[in-house]
Amino acid sequence: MSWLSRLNPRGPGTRTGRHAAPTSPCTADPETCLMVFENHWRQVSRVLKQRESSVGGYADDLTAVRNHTDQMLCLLAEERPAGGDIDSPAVGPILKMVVAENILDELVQWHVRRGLDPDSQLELLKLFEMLIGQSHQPLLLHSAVLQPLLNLLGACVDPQLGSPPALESSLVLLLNQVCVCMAKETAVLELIFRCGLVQQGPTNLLIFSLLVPFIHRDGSLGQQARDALLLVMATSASNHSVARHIAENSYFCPVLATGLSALYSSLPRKIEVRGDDWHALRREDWMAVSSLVLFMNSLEFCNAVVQVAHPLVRCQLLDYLHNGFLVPVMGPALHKSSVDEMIASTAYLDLFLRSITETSLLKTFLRFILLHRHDNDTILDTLLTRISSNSRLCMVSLSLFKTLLSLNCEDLMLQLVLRYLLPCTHVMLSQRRAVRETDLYGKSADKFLSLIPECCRITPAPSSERDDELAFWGKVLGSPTSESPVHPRPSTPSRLALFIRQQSSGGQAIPPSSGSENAPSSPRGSVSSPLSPDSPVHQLPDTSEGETGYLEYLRDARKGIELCSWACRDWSAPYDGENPSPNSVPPPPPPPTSHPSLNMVQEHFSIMDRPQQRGAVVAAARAEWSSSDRDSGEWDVTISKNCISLTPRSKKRSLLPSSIPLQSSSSASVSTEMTSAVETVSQHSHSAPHTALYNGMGQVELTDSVDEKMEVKKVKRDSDVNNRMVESGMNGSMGIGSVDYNDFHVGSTMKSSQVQVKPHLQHQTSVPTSTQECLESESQRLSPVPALTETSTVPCDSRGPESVERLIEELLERAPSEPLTGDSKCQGISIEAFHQELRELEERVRERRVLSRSSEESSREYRTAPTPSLTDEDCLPVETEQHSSETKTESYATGVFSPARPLGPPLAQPYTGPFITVLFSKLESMMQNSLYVNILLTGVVFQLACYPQPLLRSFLLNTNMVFQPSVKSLIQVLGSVKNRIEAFAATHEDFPAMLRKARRFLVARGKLDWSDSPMGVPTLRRSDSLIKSRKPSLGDLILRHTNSPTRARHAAQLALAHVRDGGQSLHSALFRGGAASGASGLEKQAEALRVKNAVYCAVIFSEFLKELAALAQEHSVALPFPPSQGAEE
Amino acid sequence: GISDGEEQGGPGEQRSSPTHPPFGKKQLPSIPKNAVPITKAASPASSTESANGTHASYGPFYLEYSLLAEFTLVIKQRLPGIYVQPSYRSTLMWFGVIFIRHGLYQDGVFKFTVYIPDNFPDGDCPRVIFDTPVFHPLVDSVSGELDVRRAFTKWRRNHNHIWQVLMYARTIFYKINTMDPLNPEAVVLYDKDFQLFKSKVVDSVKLCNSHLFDQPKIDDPFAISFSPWNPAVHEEAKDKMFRWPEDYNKGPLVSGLSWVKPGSTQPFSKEDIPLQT
Repeated sequence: MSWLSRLNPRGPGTRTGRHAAPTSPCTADPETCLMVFENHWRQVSRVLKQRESSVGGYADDLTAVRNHTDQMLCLLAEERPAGGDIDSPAVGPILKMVVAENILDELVQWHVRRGLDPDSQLELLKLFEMLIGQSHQPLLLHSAVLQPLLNLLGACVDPQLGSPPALESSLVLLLNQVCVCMAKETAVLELIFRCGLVQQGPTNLLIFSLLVPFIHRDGSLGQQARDALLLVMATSASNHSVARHIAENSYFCPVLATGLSALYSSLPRKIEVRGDDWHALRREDWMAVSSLVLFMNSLEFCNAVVQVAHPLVRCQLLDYLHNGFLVPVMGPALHKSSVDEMIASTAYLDLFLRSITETSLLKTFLRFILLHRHDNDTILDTLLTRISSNSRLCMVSLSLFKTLLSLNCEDLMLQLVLRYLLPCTHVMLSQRRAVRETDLYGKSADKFLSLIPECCRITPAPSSERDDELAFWGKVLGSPTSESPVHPRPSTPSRLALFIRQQSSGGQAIPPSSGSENAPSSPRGSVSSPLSPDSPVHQLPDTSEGETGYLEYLRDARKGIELCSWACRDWSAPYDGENPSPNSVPPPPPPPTSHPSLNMVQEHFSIMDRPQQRGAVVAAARAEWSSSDRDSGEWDVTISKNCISLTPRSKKRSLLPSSIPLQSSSSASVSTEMTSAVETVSQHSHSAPHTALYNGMGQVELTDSVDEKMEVKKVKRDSDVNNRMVESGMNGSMGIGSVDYNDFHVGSTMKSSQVQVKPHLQHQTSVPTSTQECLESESQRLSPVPALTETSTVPCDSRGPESVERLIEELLERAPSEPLTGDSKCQGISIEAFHQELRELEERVRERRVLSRSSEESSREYRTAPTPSLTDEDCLPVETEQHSSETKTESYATGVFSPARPLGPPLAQPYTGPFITVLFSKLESMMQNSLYVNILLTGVVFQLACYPQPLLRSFLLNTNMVFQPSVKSLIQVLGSVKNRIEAFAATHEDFPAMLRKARRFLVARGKLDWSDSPMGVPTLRRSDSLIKSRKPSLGDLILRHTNSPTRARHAAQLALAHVRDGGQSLHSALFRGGAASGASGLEKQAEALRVKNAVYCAVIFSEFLKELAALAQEHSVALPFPPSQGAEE
Repeated sequence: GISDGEEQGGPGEQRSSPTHPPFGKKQLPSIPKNAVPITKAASPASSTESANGTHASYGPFYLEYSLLAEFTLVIKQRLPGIYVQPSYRSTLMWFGVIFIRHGLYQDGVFKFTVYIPDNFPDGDCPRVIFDTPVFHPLVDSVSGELDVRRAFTKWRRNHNHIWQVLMYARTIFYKINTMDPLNPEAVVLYDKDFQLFKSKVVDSVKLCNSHLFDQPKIDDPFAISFSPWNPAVHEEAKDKMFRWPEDYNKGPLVSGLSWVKPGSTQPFSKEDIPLQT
């Protein structure tokens, strides 16, 4: 029990040698000490006996008694046991006297009788604390010490009102000391329990009940109380009657559980985030938020109690957690209607799951997620639908599912996927046997690799770039030329590390292969022939500098599969298509016909109405514009704190308007007004539900221990720093969030913000002022080119002519983010139609390209002014509000009339479950997903594909399986993505260059993230290794594709270098040039966003295919683990 | 005791003297997870692979993983008395040893090498060559090669596996087949003078066993070599075989989460351990 060692008794080591050296020399000889003690006691008892005397002597009496008591107790504390053996040391003479004459009791009673003023209480508490803490003898074993102590405590603390604030720290410290003693001398617990029984009746474990109110306190006080309580828990773990008492007669469990509820309700409703790639709370995220720290402390305490407490207490606590925290608080929180709150609650749940280490506590959470129904849907259903939503919510949800998958929990996997595959209706009857087959000869792997689009095979870059990249990859894996081709090298993934090591040491570690002569000749040629050019190690760097990763993918895959099958070794069944038998399983739940909660998060736009849809594209562009805006300017590179190391220097951004001649003043003012409006909204958003949520908890006395000041302040401070970034980074979803508050809480505020924005909108797009009309018509008006002439004619600085290609290239370099349209697919828009739409846009851009060239000739250069970007940013909340309301009304229609595909095929057909369905549809729209969504998404699929259960493995990875026609296979989905990427590349001649840049950016960014935050996730003290193993930090994610330390370092340096030399920056300014065409800024944004997402998608897609191929190969060489001993009875 | 092979430093230093015999009941626990010691194939073979594969560059991976997968199958079969180990230098060469526990060849310990064609699995069947030519109708008395082809006239991918070859190599010592022998002398004796045949077999077994502690014929870090029991060297390795690799022992606390009752497909169907009240 490691926390025991952590509990440091205050006295530095004074008592450690107690047992070891019972006869160690005393400072003064025991005889003398006893005489002095007796002397003091005589003085005191004189005073005690004349207690009836006059009032006048009051102060003097008290002072005298105090002085003498001080001396006496010091003597007692310093007395050492008088010999005896270690197990039962003889009682020292002073203690003997104290016991015989019941001295302490008399003292305390005297104090109590004369009325304890706070000062004396404090004095006495401190005295006792010193005595208990420093004594060399186990004082508490004597009821002559224990009883007065309990009396004193009883006198100091009012059972109803608790302890006076001034006493708190001394009280808790004393209690802590008592508990430390208790942990050392288990008998003390029994004694306390019995003493209490006589005195306090049912609430007898006074020490314990006194500590309970401090459970959720922050700072060292709370920590001491929790430590002390844990000691009681551990000590009582084997004491049934005490455990029973705690469970039946104390408020410990309810206070702990409902306290969590209270603390949860004070968490920020909305998580302010740093970057558009944020998707999970890591330690450094929440350490700065004190309410979250408080919550995590308490959760950690729960975890610890579950770990050490008696089963009775543990079960009660888990019950209370389920019924007093999860169901009444987490449940509703997860079902909040505002996107912000969904994001927050999902991220919290993810954080909690990652932080819990105790199996039974985890079980409580999982049971809640899998079985608890909130409004007819299980929590799991609700969470699943969120994956199909947009950007941030999707990312947070994916992150949560990644965490869930990493638990390797059979019950979860059963509900999530396996129960849908169990009946085997998804495969042709004749194929059922093939479920267990592995990919012996790499056919599936080959199939996956064959899907890598031709356009993504890397072609040599222009020499200038190539230098960089060569340096890059060369250092990493060794270029073919740098090693001596004498001996065949080990080539399995697990040997790569070796291989690299050899290289770095420069030596040839492999002995000369003298054996080749002795060996009987192999049937075909010499086995130990010189290194063939086909050696995987050599060949890959040769063919393309970017494809070196396959060995690492193999290694990752092996690690993933091994870990997973180790973790699954105690599952109840192999899930191999025979056990459990397909014929005996209950039919899985049918696909939802229409899913209300799914519609709730829809953020798409109907395809039926062309102009509207175009509006959607534009809106996407706007969202993108604003979100990427911060990428455009300067970048701060913070390595120490942020995990996202490249943060835009947002202050700079706000200066931009001043450089713009036209519109600047108006837009600037609008922008600030808007910002403040949004801020008010978010503040409301904090306060309104905050109070509402407090309803859930009945423990009034708790509220004072809850820091009600909450985090509004803190959050605001953050938003001061990167106000713009956060707001724009939140993108569409944030806008929706405000809308919800608008609807429910803060209507007036929001209204005003709309009005404030209006004039500006008008200015830009010349749409009617009438609010509603304006919003509705906007989407139709914005996209046609002419509507925006005004913005596009804003002249800016006169830099040299720049091509559209260059513009796109630069756009590509910016960090991607999710367009509003990105997910439209999942909600039922046909992707083809969307494509069509985009193609039209593309056409237009191409026309304009021609236009722009002509305009270049006439040497009129324009540059898209930052102004529109600013205004767009400001418009954003309104924009999205409009869309969301649109969506809301539409979703009804969708539910009833539209042929839009819900989450699954119709009832009669085999259904592979909502999880697979949503993942596949998200994969299908990879081209439109933001980079970060794709990284998370492929990560989740990767993890899913690590599971060794043949049902799941064959469904995902066996490309030879024949499924029922209605069942979509992963390979089909990927095939369609491949086609789209190729179609895209065919229309963009600069695709290779963009691809190269995107790849370089990703590698560099991944390195930075990684080197930046080696520690991902909060850990509870007791098992960091475990938690680290399932940390899904961002760096980790991006690094999934390239994780070797050496490579990381090089890449980080390289990336930094890039960032530093401004001109060549990875994130060169947005729209610096090339907007000279007659094109509208908005459409350019839409196009740019589309291009960017597509190119990043191409990179991720290719890597993902390698990952899948590696998984298929590694599965074929993986061995199952036998179940652990005693797992199955 | 060849576990966590790759993890410990360069292959040269440690692998050049692999003196650990495959003692212990099963070789399986130590090998499969950490240290499947497969080396890349020297291969014109990959050309055939890449011809039907998409990426020429991935061809070697396919061959190597095919062989690894075959090796995995061998492990899964748990063939009695047979141990194999791919060589360090090439996955196409496997070292093996067969222990014969009863019958004519009882107490025989036969070391052999398996040569796998480099166009596996599309080529001929693997060849099995005994280090010391065993006196047996199906074993060439000079080269020591076992007649494998008779059992696998045509090697069919997906149907034929290397474990079957190994199984076959074991079977011949228990069930003597005299048809079309590679060693006609043995057949003649078997048919005409069984006593002499038996004594020749005994001699052959003795001969093989007398060479047991010889240096491996092929100098390879992963070649199987025997040495007399030496507690200093072997005790630890033996211990290791009976234990799980440490990494797994202290694996994630929350691994193996399952509350599903065997036979059920309902989550949380397993009853909680009842509390003693």
